[in-house]
Amino acid sequence: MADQNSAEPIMARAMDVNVSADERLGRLTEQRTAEGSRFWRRIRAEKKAFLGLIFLVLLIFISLAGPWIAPYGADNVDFDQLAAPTLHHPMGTDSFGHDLFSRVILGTRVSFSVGIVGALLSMIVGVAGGVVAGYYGGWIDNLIMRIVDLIWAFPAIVLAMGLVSIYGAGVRNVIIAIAIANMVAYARIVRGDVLSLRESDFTVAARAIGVRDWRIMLRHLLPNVAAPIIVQMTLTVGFGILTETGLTFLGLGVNPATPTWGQALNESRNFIHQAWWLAVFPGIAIGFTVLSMNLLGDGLRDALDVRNVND
Amino acid sequence: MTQYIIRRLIYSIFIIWGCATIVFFMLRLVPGDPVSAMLGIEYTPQAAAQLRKNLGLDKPIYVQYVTWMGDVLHGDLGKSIDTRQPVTDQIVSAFPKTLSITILGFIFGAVVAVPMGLLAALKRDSVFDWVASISTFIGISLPTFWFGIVFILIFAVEFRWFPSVGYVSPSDGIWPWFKHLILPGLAAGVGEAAILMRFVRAGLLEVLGSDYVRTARAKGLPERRVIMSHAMRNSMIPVVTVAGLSLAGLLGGLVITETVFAISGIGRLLTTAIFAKDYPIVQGVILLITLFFVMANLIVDILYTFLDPRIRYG
Repeated sequence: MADQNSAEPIMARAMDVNVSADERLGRLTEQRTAEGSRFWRRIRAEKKAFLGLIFLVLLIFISLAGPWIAPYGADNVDFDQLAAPTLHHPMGTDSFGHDLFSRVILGTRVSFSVGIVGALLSMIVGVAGGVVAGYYGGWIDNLIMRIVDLIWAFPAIVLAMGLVSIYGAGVRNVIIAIAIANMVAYARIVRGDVLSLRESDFTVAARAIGVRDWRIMLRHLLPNVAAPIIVQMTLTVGFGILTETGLTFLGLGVNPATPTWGQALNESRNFIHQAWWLAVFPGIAIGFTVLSMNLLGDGLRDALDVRNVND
Repeated sequence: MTQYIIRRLIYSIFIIWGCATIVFFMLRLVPGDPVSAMLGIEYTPQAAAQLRKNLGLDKPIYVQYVTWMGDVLHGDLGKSIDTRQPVTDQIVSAFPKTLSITILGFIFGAVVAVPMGLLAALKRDSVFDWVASISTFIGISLPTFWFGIVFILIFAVEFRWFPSVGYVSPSDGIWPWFKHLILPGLAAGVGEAAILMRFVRAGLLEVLGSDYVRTARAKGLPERRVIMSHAMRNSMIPVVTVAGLSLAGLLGGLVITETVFAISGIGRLLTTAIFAKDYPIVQGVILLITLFFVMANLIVDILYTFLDPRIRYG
C-alpha cells in the first residue's frame, strides 16, 4: 500500500546519517500517518462504506444503550401472549408475553459483542501467525500454513459445531469457535503480503541498521498490511454474527434464557402458523447488522483498493 | 499439468489424513471423562467399562489411533452410542437427502444468478444493476435457515403450495419427493445465487474491458457474438471456482437449514448427535463433510487447469 514511486526518498531518509537510527525509521513511517487522513477521505467518497459506517454507529449505540431504549425489560411478561404487532408492542409478543421489540433491541448487544470479540480474537491470532510465517519463512512458515490448510478444510459452521460438541454451548465457546474458524483467513492474507514486504527496501534497511525482528514485524510490516486486515475484520464480524445466530438457533449457542435473535428464531418455528412476527423481525435484525458489516467491508475494500481475499 | 494434478492429489490425501487425525482427537479432547459424558444418567462403573472397551478407549493411545485410521479406511466409523447402529449406515441413509437439497439449491442458485449477473454487467450502472447489487448484499447478509423459515411462512402457511416440513423418498413418487425439497432447495439457493451473481457480473465486466473483446468489436462482429462467443466463455472461469466452492459451502449451510424443515439429513444427524453426546456420529459426520469440502476444492482446482489453458502451475 506504500507509494511505489517514493522508494528513492525513503532510502534517502533512511540513509541520513545526521539523525539517530530510530528517528530515521520514524521518518520511514511518517508517510503512513499521511495515509491515515487520506483513508477518511476515501471512505467518505465510497458510498457503501459510508452507509455501512453510519449503520455501524447506530448499531453500537443500540447495543450500548439497549436497556434504556427498550420499552420493556427482557423478562417483563405481558398477559398478551403471541399478540400481533400493535402500538404497544411494535413487533408483537412471544409465547411468554415478552415484548419482541425489546428483546430484539437487547439481542443486539449479545450478537454484536460475540461477533466483534470473535473477530478480534481471530484477527490477533491469525495476523500473528501470518506475520511470523511470512517473515521467517522456512519450516515455521511451512508448519503454520499447513495448520491453516487443515483448519481451512473444515466448513466454519461444522468446525464451530464440533468445538461446541466437545466443550459445550455458551457464549465463551461460541466466541472461541468463531475465532478458530476465521483466523485462517487473516493468516493467509497477511502471510502473502508480508512475504513480498520482507524483501522491500524499508524492511531491508531496518534489518541493516539492526532493528530487532519483533520490532520490524510490529512497526514496519503490520502497518503496511493494515488495509486488508481491516477489510477482513469487518467481514468477519458479519460471519461471526451469522455463526452465533445459527448455533443459538440450534440450541448450541448462547444460553436460551438470554434474549438473542437466534433464540427468538428458534422459538418462531414452534409458532410459525400463529405468529409470523416471531420469525420476521429477529431475522431483519440479523440481516441489517450483517448487511451493514458487509457494506462497510466491501466499501472499505474498494476505498483502500484491497484485492479480493478469496482470490 | 499432470504433475500438478498428481501433486494436488497427494496434498489432498495429506489434508484428509490430517482432518481424520483431528477428528480422532476430538473425542479425547472432551474435558473430563468422555465415557461418563456419553452415558449421562445411565452411568454405572460397569457400563462405563463396557463402553470404554467398545470404543477402544482402554487401549494405549497409539493403538487407538492406528485402529481408528484402519477402520476409517475401511469405511467403518464405529457404532452410534444411542442407537447402537453402525455410524456409516446412518450417514448413508441421511446423506442422499442432504445431497438432493444441495444440488437443488445449486441449480436454483445458478438459474437465477447467471442470467442476472450477465444482465447486470451488460447494463452496468443501470437501475437493474443497482437492484441486483442490493439483492446480492441482502442475500449474503441473511442466514440460509432464516430464508427457510420465511419461505415456510409464505409458501406453506400462507399459500399452502408446498409442505412445510419433512422428506419423502423418491421411491414414493418423484413429485412428492420434489415438492418436499422445493422450499429447502430455494432457501439454500438464495445465498448461492447472491454469491454467484457477484462473480458472474465481475467476471464479465473484467473480460469486457480486455483487449481481445475490443478487437472483436473493432473488426465489426455483432455485439451478440462478441458477448456470447468471446466474452462469456472466459468470464465463466472464475464462476466455476466459486460454484464449486459454494457447492461445498451450501452443504455446510444446510447443517442448520435441515432443522428448519425437519429433514433428517446429515445436518440433523450431527445436531441431534451433539445433543446426545453421541461422539461416534459427530466424528463420522464431521469427517464426511470435510471430505466433501476437500474433494470439491480438488475438483475445482483440476477443472480450472482444463478450462483456462493459460494457467500453468509451477
